[in-house]
Amino acid sequence: MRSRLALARIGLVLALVIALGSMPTHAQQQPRSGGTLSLPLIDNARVWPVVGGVPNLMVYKAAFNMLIRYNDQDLLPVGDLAERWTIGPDGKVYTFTLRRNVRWHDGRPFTADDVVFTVNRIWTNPDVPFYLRGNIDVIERAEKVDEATVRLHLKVPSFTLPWMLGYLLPILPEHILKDWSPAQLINPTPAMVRSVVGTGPFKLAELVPGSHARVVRNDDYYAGRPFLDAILYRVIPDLDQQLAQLQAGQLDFMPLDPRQLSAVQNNPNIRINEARQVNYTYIGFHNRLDPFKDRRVRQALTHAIDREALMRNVIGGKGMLSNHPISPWLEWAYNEKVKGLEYSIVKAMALLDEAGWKVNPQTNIRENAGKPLKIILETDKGDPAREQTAVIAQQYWKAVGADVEIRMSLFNALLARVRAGVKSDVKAHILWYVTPPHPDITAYYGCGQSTNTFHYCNPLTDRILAQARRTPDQKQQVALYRQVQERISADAPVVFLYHPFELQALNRNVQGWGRFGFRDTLNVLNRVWKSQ
Amino acid sequence: MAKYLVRRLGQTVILMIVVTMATFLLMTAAPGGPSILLDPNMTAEQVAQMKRLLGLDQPIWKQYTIWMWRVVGGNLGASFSAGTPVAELIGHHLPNTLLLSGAAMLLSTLAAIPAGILSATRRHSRLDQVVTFASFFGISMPVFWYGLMLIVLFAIRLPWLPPGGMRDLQGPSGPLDVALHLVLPAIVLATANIAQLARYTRSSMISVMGEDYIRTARSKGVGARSLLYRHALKNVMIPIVTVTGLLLPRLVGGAAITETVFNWPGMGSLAVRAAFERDYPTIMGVTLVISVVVVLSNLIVDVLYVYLDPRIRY
Repeated sequence: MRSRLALARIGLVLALVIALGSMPTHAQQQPRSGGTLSLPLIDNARVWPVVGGVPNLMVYKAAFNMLIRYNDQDLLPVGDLAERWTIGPDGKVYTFTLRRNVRWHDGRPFTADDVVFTVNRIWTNPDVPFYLRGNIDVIERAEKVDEATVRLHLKVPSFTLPWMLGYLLPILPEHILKDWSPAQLINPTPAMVRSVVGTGPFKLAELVPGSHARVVRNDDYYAGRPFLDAILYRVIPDLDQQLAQLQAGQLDFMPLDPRQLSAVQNNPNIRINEARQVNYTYIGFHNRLDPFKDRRVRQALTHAIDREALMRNVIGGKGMLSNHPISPWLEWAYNEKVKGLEYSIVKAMALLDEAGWKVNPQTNIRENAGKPLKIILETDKGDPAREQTAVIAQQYWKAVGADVEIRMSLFNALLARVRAGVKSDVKAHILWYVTPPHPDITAYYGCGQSTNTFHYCNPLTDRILAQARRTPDQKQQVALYRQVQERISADAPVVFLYHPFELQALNRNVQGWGRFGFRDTLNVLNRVWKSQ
Repeated sequence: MAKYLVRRLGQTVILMIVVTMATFLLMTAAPGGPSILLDPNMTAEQVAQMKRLLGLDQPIWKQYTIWMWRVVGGNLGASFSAGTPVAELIGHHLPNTLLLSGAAMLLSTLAAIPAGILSATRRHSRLDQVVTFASFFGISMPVFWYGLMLIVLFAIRLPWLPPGGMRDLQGPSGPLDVALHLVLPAIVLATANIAQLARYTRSSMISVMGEDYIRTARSKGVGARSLLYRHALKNVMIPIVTVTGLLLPRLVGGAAITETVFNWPGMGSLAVRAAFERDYPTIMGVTLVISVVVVLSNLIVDVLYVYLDPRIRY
């Protein structure tokens, strides 16, 4: 009897050992070479880093490198084509030591000349309307020291430049582009684009308008041979069609709309990632126009909205509450002490009363000097999250005595009006911003800055921002940015809503995919691989 | 006939100028402007510079004249968003649309004309009721919903057919592969036309069968089969050819929704994307080509009349 029990025990243990041994664990898996990764594009890709656009950057990121990229742990800048860099004590001279083992796809070596060309002839050339110049307008010029050393001279001191250099600024080949005119540099034909080579892990192989783009493995990639044979980018403008292709196994990745989540949540072949991305959604005010000129009105309108409930209802809670423009994923700079303006109808009403907006008992709408508190809230047609946000905000604001009218227009039409400068007639609008992973928000909130679509201006905040840029000591710099977060949150130039997660649907056999949004993973495509 | 054709072609040229002028005006008057000028990072200065490079800083009439002059010289310009010459874009997309609409047209005539004739000759029978019900169902079904349902059913639940696109980009692709991709969009595109054509065939058949000459033929002792095919059918065809002619341009330019739902790389999806992007050269190029197709298909219909009805002379 006893020995039988013992035998049974041994048998059980053996069975367990066998079962455990045969269980696949991810940690043990060795990267495997081969396979094609299939990614969606919502439109044809230009594959041209001198102009913007998401489909464009999705493809060119595979073929080009920047001087600096962000690491995939905490989005801090690390060397890409630059092996390392030093900053002069005055913060006006950066010296980059370039990697020596990098070759262009045509076999020519990458040198300092390519960097100097890219900086002087594209980034800073006044004849070329380069779309990202606003981020790097501190750069005066580049100077070649030797084949593998480049110096960047700045107009004013800046210690935040490395973060800007890692944001969509690929280095282009001088030996191919040196005779191109500014018009050709900004608007080349696909035939010209096909003649251009990069240094990236993949080489452009095919570009078929309306159908696809294909890049193939670059065996001479400086960081080692990529695992994937190729990446196939399929042009699929319709999100439901993308979802169908994903379910049919024809796509390996897509960023999901929250309402699509339920369709694939329980699909055993699909993995969902709630990826962090530097991105926030807001209700922006025109801070120079009535009634938003008055800080109390802006604060009241933030207090009036239960932002947590809004986030839960609009994006299924898939995000983090936002209290200011700095992303919580920038852990080194994020000020978690700033709690933002909490949901409080009492506070909202008190602030509006104080600002002179009194309720007219006949209409239940607040008035100031005989003028009713009328808000025209605008957003773009077709995005369910923003459309719902408009309706929800309308209800909340009505509850504190504002008369809110919602206006929907096509995305391009709205954007053109929002970006029309100070004379813009858009007073309140719902949109979102994707920004470099750095708390330097001067371009969006600095007085008179060209991308400051809120026309917000607080001279003291401006001074702190300028001082932070000039501060070499990281700790002191962070302390200044923590102040900025407090000040902007209190000033409420916009209603900060949320930092949404990027809901990534991935084919289960895609490995080595990063934890951040796809834009950042596309910087390290050489590490992505497919298991069978 | 030759004189007639020359006059018609002359009218066509004038019509083209009117159509393109109207499109140009509407397009440039639409709020927003090209996407290429709307990158959130761009400053006002860069936008102005970009406009100058693209020629968008000129007055509208001048932009139109420049465009027209280029077209006369055989150049449709280059797409703002893709940089590709518009002629090349259309060259990629038009054959795909012709394939899809050709298949849909074939499918609809093959299905609709027999269905219409059967339901007319067996009026008020069970079969007639089924055809009538199916026709109304086909006409009233929204294409995007119907398309998605077919995708869910035949590409995801039952993985028999590809959910969209035109060919398998990761494997060997031949005519069979394209044909498999063609099945669902062709059915969706054909459904509404089948319904419409079947209704027209039915009513046209009914009215022809009530004509004097049919009665005469019948009283002469002509057999039912011969009566139907020799005497009635050719006359039935006149309204059907008219309707088909009207459907033809819709198949070339108006398959936008079907093409988008199934990601078919044709003229419709090209036009939709160009409109969203405010890609002026592409919008103009697509409009021009589609207008030419409309005018030509009307011309073909008119010529077919002569063949079908010897009394018609131009």
